Amino acid sequence: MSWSHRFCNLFRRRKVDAEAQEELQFHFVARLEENLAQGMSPEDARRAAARQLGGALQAGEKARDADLLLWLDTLAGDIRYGFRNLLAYRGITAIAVLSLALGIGANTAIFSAIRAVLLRPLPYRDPGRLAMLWLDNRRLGLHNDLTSYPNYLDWKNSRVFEDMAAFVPTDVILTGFEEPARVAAVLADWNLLPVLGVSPALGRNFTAAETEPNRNRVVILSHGLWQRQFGADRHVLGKSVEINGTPSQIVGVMPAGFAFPDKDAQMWMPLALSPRARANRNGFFLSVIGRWNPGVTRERARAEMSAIGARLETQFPDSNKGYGVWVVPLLEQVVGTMRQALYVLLGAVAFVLLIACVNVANLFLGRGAARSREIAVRAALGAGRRRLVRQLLTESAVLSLLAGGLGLAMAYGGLRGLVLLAPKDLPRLDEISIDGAVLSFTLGVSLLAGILFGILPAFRISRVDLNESLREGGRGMAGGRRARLLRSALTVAEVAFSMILLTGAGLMMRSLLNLRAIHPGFRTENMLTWRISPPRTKYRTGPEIAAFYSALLERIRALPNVRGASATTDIFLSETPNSGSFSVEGHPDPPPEQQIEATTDRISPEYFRTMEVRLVAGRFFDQHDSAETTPVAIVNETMARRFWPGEDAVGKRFKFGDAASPDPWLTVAGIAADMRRQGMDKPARCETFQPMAQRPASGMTVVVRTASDPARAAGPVRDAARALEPHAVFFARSTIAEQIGDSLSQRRFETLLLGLFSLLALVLAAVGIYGVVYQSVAQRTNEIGIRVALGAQKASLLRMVAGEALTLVGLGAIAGSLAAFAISRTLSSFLYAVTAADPLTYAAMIALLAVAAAFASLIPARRATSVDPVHALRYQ
Amino acid sequence: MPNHHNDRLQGTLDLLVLKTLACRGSMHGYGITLHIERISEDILRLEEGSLYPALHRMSQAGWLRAEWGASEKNRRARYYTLTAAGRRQLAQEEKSWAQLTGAVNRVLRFT
Repeated sequence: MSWSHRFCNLFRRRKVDAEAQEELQFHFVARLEENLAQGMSPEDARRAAARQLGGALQAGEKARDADLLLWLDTLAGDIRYGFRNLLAYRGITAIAVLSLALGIGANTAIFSAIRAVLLRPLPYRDPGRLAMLWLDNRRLGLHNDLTSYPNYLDWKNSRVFEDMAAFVPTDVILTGFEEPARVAAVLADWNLLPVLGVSPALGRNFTAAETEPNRNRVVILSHGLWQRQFGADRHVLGKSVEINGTPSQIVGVMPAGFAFPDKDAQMWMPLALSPRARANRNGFFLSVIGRWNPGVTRERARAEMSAIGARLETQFPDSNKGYGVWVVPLLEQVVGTMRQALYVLLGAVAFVLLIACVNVANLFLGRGAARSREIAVRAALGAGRRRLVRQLLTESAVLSLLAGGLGLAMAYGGLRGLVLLAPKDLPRLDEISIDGAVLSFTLGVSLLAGILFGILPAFRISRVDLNESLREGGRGMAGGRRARLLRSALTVAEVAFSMILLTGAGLMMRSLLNLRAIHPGFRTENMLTWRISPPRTKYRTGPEIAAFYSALLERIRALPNVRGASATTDIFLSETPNSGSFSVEGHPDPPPEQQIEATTDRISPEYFRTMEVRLVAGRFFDQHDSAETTPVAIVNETMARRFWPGEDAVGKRFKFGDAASPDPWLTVAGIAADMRRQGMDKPARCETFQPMAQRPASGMTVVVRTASDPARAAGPVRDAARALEPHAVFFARSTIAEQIGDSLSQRRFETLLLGLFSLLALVLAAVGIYGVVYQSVAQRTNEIGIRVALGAQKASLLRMVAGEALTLVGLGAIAGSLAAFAISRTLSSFLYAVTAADPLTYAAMIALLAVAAAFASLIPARRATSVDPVHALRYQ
Repeated sequence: MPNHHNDRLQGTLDLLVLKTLACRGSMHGYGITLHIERISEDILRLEEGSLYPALHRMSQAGWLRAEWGASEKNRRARYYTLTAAGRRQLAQEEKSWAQLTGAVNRVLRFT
């Protein structure tokens, strides 16, 4: 053959192929007719024709595979052929694409969340070298505790860290605008921005000199605050704003997107500490961020800082005994518990996709029955086994890419929902987007899924026995015992997978219910809470401030619809609450590392009555507890049990600091029941409360118990406060119910997602069961017809069909339970008051699967019972 | 396309096809098979696996002309006819076949 011919053929290949195929088809048909004419039975005629034709093209196909261009050309042909086939089996294709798309979509959504939250670098220079440094408070078992200024200076001597910067997140009142506004601000050492490696977009950073006390105040604004409050005015630099009543000069504006330590922060100001504060090793109030040297690992950073911590412990036992240093890479700190949750969810969606793949593989195996004839003809026309497998896999790939496209669209929609549903304080979730990495992930997952679900049917279907399948006229493949066994095994696997997911979701749901059922120890309904502060310029001394709150509460109580009002420094406790070590009268002071800290809150006399906290012993505060009377305190049950076990704590005395400290002795006036103040899943710690009249505090939360919807009381409360003090500052209005809800919101979100995914898995598994049972009924129409003819009752037919479905589910549930039991240990940190082996959850989920299986076999069962024996027997 | 292992055998197939077409004019592949089977009284059975590649090869070589036409039962079939080059090839093949069989016969008759 000449090169010109060969070259032309490359382009003519399609036509040549088609013609060759048509020519052979003609030959096959002509031979068949001839055989029939000679009196052969149709089966024999077909077999003989096929045998003679066999191998006709095999040689040609092999020769073609050798050439890359031809290989590509074949691929294009296969893809076209695949499309044609997918169109020919529209129903199956639609189901397959839909279930795969759901699986791929879920994976894409969770992956883009993982990418946004865990994989994308933080927006700082070389962020992998940034870490938070905390006081490792072994006394409280608290890793992330605040440190003191002298400690900070000693930490800075570390040779692993290039630099460190201390900061204090705080709230300031911004005045000079229409209404005083409360703004989250950060007091920071001058080198905070250099450590982060970010410069202001406008203006400059503050200087080291500006962190000296009693200097002119300066401030850097966030991009958002600059836009909102200053109209994005480029001439804002040098202007003055009033912060906490003191004029401060604006020296810089940060670039958009800068949010350190979190999204709330709107201002950065020099941390100008007094010489006394700088010398106080017992004043723990600083957060520290550091940048370690290039090439340093976190292990080395940890080891070095632990050594420094240990040295400080021996050097300054009074202040540092029991305190180490805790190093957390910044990304880990920002992401927090999200990491584990996201990986659990990724595992869940991987199972969903696996189930979808099994489902589609099953569908394809079933379809193989209908296709066996077509495959046999192709094999007869000389397609080798490898060629057939390749064709079938190409078809799967086409299908999975279609599903990938649809899944991407679903993920896009789903992510919007996800972000809407997500609690607002989840870090970095708002930065979610579908980018190149996510697209590649989707593509990869789609192809992988295509191979996963395609490989088994491809090998199964391509193993055609020409005689067998042509003779059986299409019933051969799926009707075979082995094929049916295979499909049943696949169904059992998918039931097992969904059982794993369902138990995971069930356990988390039970944890959530357990948490919701917990009584927090105080009233939660109809409780309005609002942080209200008097202007500092007008109320300077303790008694003035205490008098302000007394008068305010008096006015609020006079409002209609209000059942009670009181004030407290904090209703709930943060991770690092105000607390201190203390000395109990008559007990020797324990060594510092064994000291336990107690929280210190100040309350108005009626606080516990407003909150409806139970009095265990003694009395609550009243109007008689004043600056002139004996200093008193109320302790909670946990503290009473711990320090006065077996005795009556009421009347006993303790003081903050050691026995020699200048603080006054506090007499325990009463014991209050424990409250869950650090989230519903955390037990109470040692807590103390003092009357605000004896120890006033300037920023307090006002709690108002209302007769009806607490939101409706907000307006009157504000008016009452304004009438008393026009310059009072209000912020963080909320209700107790909302705040408890917030503390559960991340858990609720995770449970919701896991629940959704396991529901998806359940539906997919049900579709799988339906498919297998339906097929089996269809294949057994004959047998059923005979049974009916022999007088079988409907009930026994139903038993037969449902029995098959339930056997599959039973086996799947057993396998799934075992696997779930092994896996659910990874969930243990998400569980509350329920073990990973909770029998109730397992039983409930097995029941759920059984119900799903019953529904899935409903239609096949109806079909079985409506079989007409006459028709069925003729069906052959 | 790889060369056949046995040029002589291939030559035989070519010869049979060329000769058939020379006698019967235009024919489709199946017709060629039938003709050869009938005339040889079923001793020669053509493998379709070699026939169609051979027809294709000979068309490419310009010995045959292929065109689509209607079969006896009015189906679309590809008909082959001999070209002038084909006739020359036939003559040459017949000659070399006669030489070959003559030679073989002489060897066989030698006692």
